[in-house]
Amino acid sequence: MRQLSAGDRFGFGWRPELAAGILAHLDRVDVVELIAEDHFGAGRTALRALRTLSAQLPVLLHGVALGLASTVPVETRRLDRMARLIEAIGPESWSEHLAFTRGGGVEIGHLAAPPRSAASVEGACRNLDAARRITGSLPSVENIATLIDPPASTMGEAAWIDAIIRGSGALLLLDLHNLYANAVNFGQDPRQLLRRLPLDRVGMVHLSGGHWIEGPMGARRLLDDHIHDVPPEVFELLTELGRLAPQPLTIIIERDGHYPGFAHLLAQLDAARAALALGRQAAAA
Amino acid sequence: MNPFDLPGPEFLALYSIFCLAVTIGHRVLRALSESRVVPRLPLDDPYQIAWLRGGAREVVRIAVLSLVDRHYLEVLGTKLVRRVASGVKQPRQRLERAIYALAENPAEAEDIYADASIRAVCAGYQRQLAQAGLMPDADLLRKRRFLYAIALALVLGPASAKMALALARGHWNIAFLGIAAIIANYILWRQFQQERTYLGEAALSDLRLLFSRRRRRAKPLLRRKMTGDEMLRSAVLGPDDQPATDGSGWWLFNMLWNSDSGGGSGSSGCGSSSSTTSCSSGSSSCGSGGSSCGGGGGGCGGCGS
Repeated sequence: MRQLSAGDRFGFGWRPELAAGILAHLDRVDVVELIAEDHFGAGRTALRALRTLSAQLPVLLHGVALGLASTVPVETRRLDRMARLIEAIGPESWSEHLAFTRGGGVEIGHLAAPPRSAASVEGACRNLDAARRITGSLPSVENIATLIDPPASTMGEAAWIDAIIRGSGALLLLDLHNLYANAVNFGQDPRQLLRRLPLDRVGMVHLSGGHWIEGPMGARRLLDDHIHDVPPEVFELLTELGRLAPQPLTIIIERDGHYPGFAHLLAQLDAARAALALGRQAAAA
Repeated sequence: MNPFDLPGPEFLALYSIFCLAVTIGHRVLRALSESRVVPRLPLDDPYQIAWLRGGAREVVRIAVLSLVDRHYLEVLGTKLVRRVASGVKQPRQRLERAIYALAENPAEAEDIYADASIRAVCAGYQRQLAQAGLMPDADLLRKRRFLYAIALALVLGPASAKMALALARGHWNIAFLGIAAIIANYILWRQFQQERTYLGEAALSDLRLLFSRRRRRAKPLLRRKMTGDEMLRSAVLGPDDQPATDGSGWWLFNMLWNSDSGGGSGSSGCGSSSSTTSCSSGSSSCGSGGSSCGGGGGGCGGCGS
C-alpha cells in the first residue's frame, strides 16, 4: 500500500508536445512546471492561455537564464520580466538554477557551474535577495549538473549548496539526476552526496534521464540530457530522499525530447510515486 | 442641427460611423456579459471539448473514429458494422455505447446523426457546456436577443426615418443607405448567432494555443493507438484528415467529413432541439464570427477542407 505524504505531488515539465497527455490525465498529473523564458515575450492571448492552464492544475515557473549563482549582479531587466510573468500567470512558486549563464558580457547559452567559493555564495545570496525584492517571492534554487569540476573551487558541492540555502533562506529544488550525474562523474557515492545536502529545505525534486558520453582521456561522463527515461538509480535516490525528508515534496519529471507515448511517461510518474512511497514507508517503520 | 436634415452623402457617412459604434458596442456588451476567467474545463471528457469546437458533427465523428480505431466497429461498403460480437464487450462511454448499439444493424452515416439516443447524449454535452458558461444557456440567449433587438432598433431606426424623409421630399437615392443598414444588420446577426459564448471561444482558443507547437492536426486516429491524449488532441484540433492506411480510412473521412452525408449541416446533427445555436453548421465548426479558426493552420479541424 502506498503511503505518500498528504502534500506530495507529481507532475511534468510542461512542453507543448505533452500538452494533450497532461491535460487528458489530470487525475494523475498534479502539477506542471513551465519554463519561464519560453513565455517572456508572450502576448495577451498567450498569457491568457497560460492562466487557463493554471485554472486546470497548479503551475510552477522555472527559470533557466537568470544566472543567479554568480558574483556578477543579476540583470534587473531579466528579473523585471520574471516579475511580470509571475504577475500575469500567478504560479504557485518559481525556481532558478544555481548556475551562471553569462560573464564579461558574453552569453554562454548554457547553465555553467561557478567556482564553489565563499565569493560565489555571497554573490548568489545577493542575487537571490534581489530576485525576492523585484518579483516579490524568493525562488527555489536547483543544483545543476556539470561535466567539469568547477576550477578555483574551495568548497564541495554539498557544502556550497548548503551555504547558499542557509544564507538566502531559499528552498532547494533538488535535481536528483544532476546529483547522480555529478556523483558518478566525480567518483562520489550519490547517497552520501544526497545526505550531505540540506534535505530539510527540499521542497521540489526534478527527475530526468541522461546518457553516457566519452569524456577526456577515455573517462566516461554521464550527461544530463532530459531525453531519456529516469534511471533506476535516480528512483532509488528518490526513495532515500523520501526516507530522510518527511516534508511534502513536489516531484517533476523533465522530458525535453525523444518523447515516448504518454502512457510510458505516466508509468515513469507512477514509478516516482512508488519510489517516494517506499521511502515514506521506510521512514514510518 | 438636425442630422436628418444633412445631405445624403454626409448623412451616410455619419450613419456609417454610428453603425460601427453600435456593432462595436453590441460586441463589447456581449463580451462583458459572457466573459470571465476560464474555469476548470471538462478535459476528462474529450467529447465535450469536441462539441465545443464543432457541435454534434465533431462529437460523432470522433466517437466513430475512436470506435473503429479500437476495433469495436468496422466499415463494410458504406456502412458501419460491429466488429466485436454482441455481448462480448461494450464500450464504456455513453455516446460510444449508443453508436455501438446502433451498429448492431449496419448503419449509414445518416442513421448515426439521426438516431434519437445519440441525439439525447449529444444534448447532454450541450447542457454541461452551458452550465460551465462555455455555450449559451436559455438565460444567456434571452440576454443576447434583448441586446440584439436594441442594437437592431438603433441601426434600423435612423435609416428608416431618413429614408421616409427622403422619399417624402422626393429623393429616391436611398440605395446606399439601405445597403449600409443591411450590412450593419448582417454583422449584428452574425454576432448574435455566435454558437459559443465569449468564454467558450476563449477556452477553445486557449487550448489550441497550449497545443500550438504541434502545428498540425492530430495524428490519424485509425492506427490502433487511440489513447486519452490522442482523443483530447483530436477534440481540440480536429482529427487528422490524412486517410489511414487501412481501407476504412477514406470511407470514414468521406462519410463523416462530407457535409452532404448528413453531418455537415446543423439541421441533421443531434441536439438540435435545445436551442437555436446548438448544432454546428459546417462553417460554424470554424467558429462563427471567424474569431477562433486557425491555430497555426491546425486549429480548424472541423471544416473538412
